[in-house]
Amino acid sequence: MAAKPDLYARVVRITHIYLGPAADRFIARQVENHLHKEPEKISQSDLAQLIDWIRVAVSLLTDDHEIIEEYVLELQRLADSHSHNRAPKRVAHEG
Amino acid sequence: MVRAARLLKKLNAFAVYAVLALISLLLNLVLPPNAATMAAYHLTKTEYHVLVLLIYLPMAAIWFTAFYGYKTLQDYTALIKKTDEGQNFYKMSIGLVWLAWGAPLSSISSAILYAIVHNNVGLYTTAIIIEHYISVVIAIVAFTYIGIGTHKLAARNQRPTSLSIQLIMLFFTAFGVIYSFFTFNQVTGTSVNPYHLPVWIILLTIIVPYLYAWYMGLFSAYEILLYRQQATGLLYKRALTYIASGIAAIIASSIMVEFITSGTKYLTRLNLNAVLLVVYIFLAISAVGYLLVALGTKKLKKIEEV
Repeated sequence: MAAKPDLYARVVRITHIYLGPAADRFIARQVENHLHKEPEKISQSDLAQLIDWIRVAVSLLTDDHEIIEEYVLELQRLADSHSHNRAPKRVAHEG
Repeated sequence: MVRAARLLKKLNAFAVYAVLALISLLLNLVLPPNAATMAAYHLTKTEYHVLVLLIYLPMAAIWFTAFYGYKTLQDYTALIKKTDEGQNFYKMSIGLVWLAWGAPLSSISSAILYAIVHNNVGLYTTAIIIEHYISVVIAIVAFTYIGIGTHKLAARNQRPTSLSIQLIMLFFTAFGVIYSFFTFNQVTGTSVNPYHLPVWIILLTIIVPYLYAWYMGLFSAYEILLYRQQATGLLYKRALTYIASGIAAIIASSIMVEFITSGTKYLTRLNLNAVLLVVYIFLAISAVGYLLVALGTKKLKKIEEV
């Protein structure tokens, strides 16, 4: 089986903490239904929108705001780290 | 087998419930009463039918929860049928179908059997054997399906510890010995052998199959709880807690109801009210189990739908 793109795999890995075996299917559905993309083709620029949709979806699953905020925070951290990881490369490229 | 499973999917669970419940009610009220029960508890024909109705109504409500429970689990498995856990949950749901359908079908078959015995007393022994076999076949098939599902789910994670296996064996050995003692006590302690069968046949055709079915059931209950314990995902695990507790409750209460009804059926010195009360407590636990399965399944289903 081909390795899944890094960003998608990392989003699924975080989601796994909350949704267990349903994580992969959940993220794939959010990307396909709301971003209208193939799940594994999500990029850093999609993350903010994806996180918003995930917040809405998870709010329908639980009233536990602590869990929702914790989950969204983890995804925000991933978005931030991903944008930081990419920044030097872009600078180097531009330079 | 595959064709039977497809047919099962197409049949509306609630329509099946309504038909089976109605047939069971009509047969129990219309057909001649069980002469042995009437004699044992000194009941007139009218009293017998009133008693049947009183027993039937809460029973029908409990059957409804069983149909509702398996239907919601099957709806969920349809959503995740392509995944490994989907296949395993599906097998468990087939087991629940057998338990749900089995209850009214046993009631219907008993009513028919005892009506036949009413007109032909010589068939009493045959009726007892058939009645036991219907219960035991339902239990074996149901617990085997549930066992296959729970075993494969649990096998994806860590194996049971040796201590837990030792405790299960200890508990089950004690349970088996008590059931055997209870059964032999009825055979040898009364002037008339209530089973009308030689001891070795009782051992091989009643005790062994029941104990096998119950062991399968108990181990399944343990494995689903083990899977729940080792599952990941905070929200997934919360939903799974309902399903695992529900299935464990259904299995444990089904075993206890069979244990009590098969073990005390011919103990006429026991107070009927006491036996019924204990049976109803376990049936109520089973109903709660099915509702927990439905509740947990609805939560898991929602995860797959949003």
